[in-house]
Amino acid sequence: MNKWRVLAAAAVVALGSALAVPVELKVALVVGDKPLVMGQTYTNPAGNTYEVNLLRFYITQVALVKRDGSEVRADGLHLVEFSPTTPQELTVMKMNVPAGEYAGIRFSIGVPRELNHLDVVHQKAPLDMDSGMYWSWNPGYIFYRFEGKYVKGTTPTPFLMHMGTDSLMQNIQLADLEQYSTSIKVPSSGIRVNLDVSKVFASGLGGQAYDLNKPEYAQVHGGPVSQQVYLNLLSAWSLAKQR
Amino acid sequence: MVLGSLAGMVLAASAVYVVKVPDHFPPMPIPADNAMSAAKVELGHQLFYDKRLSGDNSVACASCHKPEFAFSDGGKAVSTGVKGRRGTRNAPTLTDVGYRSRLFWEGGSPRLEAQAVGPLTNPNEMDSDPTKLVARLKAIPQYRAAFAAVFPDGLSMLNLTKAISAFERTLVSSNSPWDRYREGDQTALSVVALRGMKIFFSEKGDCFHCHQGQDFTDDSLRNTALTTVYSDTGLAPITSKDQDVGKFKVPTLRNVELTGPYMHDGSIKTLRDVVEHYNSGGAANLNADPLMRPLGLSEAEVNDLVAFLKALTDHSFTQDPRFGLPK
Ligand code: HEC
Ligand code: HEC
Repeated sequence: MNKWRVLAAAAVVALGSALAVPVELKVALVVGDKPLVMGQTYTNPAGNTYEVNLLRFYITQVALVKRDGSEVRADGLHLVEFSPTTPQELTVMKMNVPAGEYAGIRFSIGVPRELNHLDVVHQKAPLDMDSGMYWSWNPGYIFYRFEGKYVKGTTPTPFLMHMGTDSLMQNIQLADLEQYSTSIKVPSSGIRVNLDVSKVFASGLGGQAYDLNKPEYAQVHGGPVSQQVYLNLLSAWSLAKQR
Repeated sequence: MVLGSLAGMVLAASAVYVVKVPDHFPPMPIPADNAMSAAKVELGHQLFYDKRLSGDNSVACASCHKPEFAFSDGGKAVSTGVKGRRGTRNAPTLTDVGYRSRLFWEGGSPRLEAQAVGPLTNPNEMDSDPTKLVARLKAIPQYRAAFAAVFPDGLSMLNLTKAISAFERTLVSSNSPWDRYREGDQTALSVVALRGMKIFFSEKGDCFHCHQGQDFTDDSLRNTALTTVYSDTGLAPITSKDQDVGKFKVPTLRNVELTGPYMHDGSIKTLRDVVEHYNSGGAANLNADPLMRPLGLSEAEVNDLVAFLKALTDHSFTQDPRFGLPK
């Protein structure tokens, strides 16, 4: 059994030609240009010393983008979990796509509106109550759940950032259709995407620092700070060197 | 808490359970996906009082929903959860909560099962992570056995919320002086309370337009002009509509004498002050419900209304051993 969890077992369908080949989408967590090590300490722009212990997010609406802008889509909604017991790079889904060269990839982080407000009692994984992502006091699911510890004075203190609600579903486009600076070739040993988790802390509200010593940044459950994090995270994703 | 009685529950797992309600109540709505049984109710009863459901074993549902205060928080404007963390809202009564079509003050949760995830995971309340909580409870043999007896798939977050909800659906209060009056006992209400009742149900008091039905709520969301600027904006964050700022769920008035302080933020201390608030028409507020206007009630009429509200108290409910601390 894999150590990491992709709680979804959603069907992955091949669209396009019969020459479709299987390819994996891999996400690696980084801080700046270095792989993230869970439990290791880092410093954010506000000067807080922090470590990361958990990252869980939903990924869906994945599509490879051709140079003409058309797309090859892969169905499914997947819940991805990174923790100290998982590798820092995980295969988040497998898809079948026609061989060829693509300009890049796009995907969404979150739960589409039409799935975000169904009766949770009847939902199967990864949208069940036991996913740990159902919110209850905010409508729908947590889309992006980021947790760790920071040093407050001398004491390691938990922080968490939970982002969700329909308007904060993130569409990430990693395909440069103007200058073709990006490219993905299929077949491939895996499409690799980096997520710079430190970007959560890039900026606080109204140009303030994202200072974990302030309670409004240490415990984020939706609300204005999560809207800022939404903006911070738009630039957190990048296409890694394709091997 | 003693879990000794859990062993006995196993035998009763399949017994049918009917929530008894009086004739002037509709039948208790039971969702098809969470049928009642005596064993499920008893398991939910145990869970409701068990502090081990919180992240640091310090807080149970019953810490904020106390039976002696009709399952509200005994005089606290806002509640305190794990590590002394304070929330921002007043803990509502759970009297007849199984009838509510929406939950939370802004009405954002559609059913009890879904609602229960809130307090369990909210860092200001019980601060449990679902995965860790299930693992913790699985380590307790009595719970493993009790869940296995009630649910074919055993212990999970979903089944935990189902059991607690089954218990909550039994919290029926129907033995106040008002209920006895409804059932034909002409002496059950004092003369003062009877006068208050007439004001409550007339255009003069106009309370009944929002506080109606057997529980004195139509479960609608209204702005009662509590203040001009609402720091907790109520329904608005869900609908993203300006006109929904300050809209909160009409609360039940059953046992209201026991559930102060009042309103979503606990900002009004006494029932008399609540009635005075309505009598004044409330603060200037663009979203105020059209029913909010100065009522012109005399001092005596205010007293009458308060007496009527106090006639909705059911002490047999708060002292019912089926609902109190489990043996
Ligand atoms: C720390 C105090 C606290 C604890 C512990 C707590 N609650 Fe509550 N409860 C509240 C508050 C405050 C509200 C109102 C919250 C809101 O409207 O946002 C509430 C609301 C509710 C409601 C909604 C009632 C209505 O009419 O809208 C239900 C049902 C409920 N709680 C059940 C539970 C259950 C079940 C548990 C245990 C799993 C629990 N509560 C634990 C404080 C608490
Ligand atoms: C427009 C609808 C409406 C009308 C009319 C109305 N209420 Fe209310 N009532 C509400 C709402 C909504 C709340 C909760 C408001 C909040 O928390 O911001 C409430 C709260 C209360 C509370 C506090 C209950 C608690 O648990 O905190 C009492 C008592 C009460 N009303 C009594 C009355 C009486 C008596 C009248 C008639 C004089 C009346 N209401 C008229 C909608 C109404």
